Amino acid sequence: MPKRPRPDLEQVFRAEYVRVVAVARRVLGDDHAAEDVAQEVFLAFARSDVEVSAARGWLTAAAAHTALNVVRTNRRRAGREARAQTDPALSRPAAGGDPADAMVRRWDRAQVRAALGALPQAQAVALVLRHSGAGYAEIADALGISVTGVGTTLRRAEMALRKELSRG
Amino acid sequence: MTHVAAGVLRRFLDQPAAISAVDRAHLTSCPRCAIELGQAQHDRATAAAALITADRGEPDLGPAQLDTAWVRFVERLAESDVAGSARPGRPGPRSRQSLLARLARRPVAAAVIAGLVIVGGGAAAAAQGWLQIFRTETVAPVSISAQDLMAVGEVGRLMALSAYGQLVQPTRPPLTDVPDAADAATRTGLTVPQVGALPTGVQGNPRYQILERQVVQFTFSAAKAAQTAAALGATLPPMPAGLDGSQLQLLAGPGMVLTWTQRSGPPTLMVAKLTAPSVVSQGAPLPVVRDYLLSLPGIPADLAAQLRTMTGDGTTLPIPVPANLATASQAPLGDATATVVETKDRAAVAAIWAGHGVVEAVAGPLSREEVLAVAHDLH
Repeated sequence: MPKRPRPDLEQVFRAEYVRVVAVARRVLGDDHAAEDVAQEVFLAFARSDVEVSAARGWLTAAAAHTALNVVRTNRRRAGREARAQTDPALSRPAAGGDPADAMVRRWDRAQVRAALGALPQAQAVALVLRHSGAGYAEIADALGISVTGVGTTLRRAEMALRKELSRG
Repeated sequence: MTHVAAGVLRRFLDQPAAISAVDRAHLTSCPRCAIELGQAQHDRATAAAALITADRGEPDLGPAQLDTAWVRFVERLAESDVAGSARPGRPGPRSRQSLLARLARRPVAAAVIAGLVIVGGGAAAAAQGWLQIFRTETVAPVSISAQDLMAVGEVGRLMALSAYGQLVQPTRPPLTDVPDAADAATRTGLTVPQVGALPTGVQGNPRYQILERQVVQFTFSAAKAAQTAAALGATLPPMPAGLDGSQLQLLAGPGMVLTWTQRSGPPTLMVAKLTAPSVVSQGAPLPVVRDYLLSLPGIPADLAAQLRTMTGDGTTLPIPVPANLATASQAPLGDATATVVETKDRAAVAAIWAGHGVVEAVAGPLSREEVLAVAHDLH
């Protein structure tokens, strides 16, 4: 027997969907992939008992976690595919627009995704949430750490991200 | 000397007031911490730039995209119930085409979504397990006697849906003025009724108003019903098993109203077009909902019988007509049948008909022939 949906589901969906997509897109850099993540996040929310007052923080954190999981899954898949074959299509710029520009954008986003995927999950989540506008208390709630610990996690995350990006 | 911890130093960049005065003073005087602070600032800027690179600004999701996302979500929710659980990490389809293709293989989900798409033009509100139990395809008058009206009026409080559960209604004003026909069409997704010859005495351009999609959500509550009954000293029929906690959504609109008026006078002609109203239910079938509502005290037996018969197949919208004030009749209108309501003092006439997913009406202080002539032009 399916669980009855939350009565506040549509209200929360309409209020928070754009924000959830924005957080996921900050990680993934892709509209469609971000919307897929948002759908997953709301599916989980639909079955949760999260209070409506805590919905925004919960959804934001879930968006960051889920998007980062997608990055990690794609990294593993990309690694397997790279070992199996070299696909010239992967290095071809997208159709339309300036090919050189598309190449640069594609490279930058791919590099950022790879760097985020290499970070410990808590650090990556803290980073995404903070740069999506979340406050220290919200990040602390999302990670289950103290507010004091948020600064430490952010510092480590930004340091690690800089190192990862400089490797590329 | 104790230097400022890395976390405190990082927080200083975002919230300088959140760190202690001692730490702030140290940061302004310690060369080593100043270097650390500069590095933290640089790393923060790098992260911000990198995440902006990945982001490309805020998503461009307007109301239409949000509606599409909601419909897609409802479908996925229904599908995940069929499958037994959600499948995190497995993104769903993006295109309407693939959604429809998959629906074709799932009749129950297909019925739900097809109904929602028809009702709301792709924007209907519903959630997991919703089934359409009513959709207006025809309209028909229901005669309410003066006695009925009095009886219903006396138990007005018991008649209110909110006495039996939680009622969530739109807070936005029902009608909004728009500048012209093109705007009305764009904002409702409906074609604007084209009135041919205006009746004598009706002149000028109409005022355009639109009705946004209205969703009224109601959740039955046996506890609330019992509470109401106790407060009013009334006896209520027992709520059928399965109805407690069931939800209904009454969906209406979008729609538009065109009004012609004389200078600072009353309307001389009104033409309305509305996406066919419907009701979706989360679990409770129409007969259960209808029979319970009609069994509530205060609803005269003959009126209940009329309503029960009329709504039998869930496609006929009853138009209440107070028998002492107005008469109702029917008139052919192309492939539809219009219900024509005339006030007994001959002050106003209205024709209402449904079909092709919309309900339309023409009304005014006009003759029956004039109203039907406008209706024929529209139809």
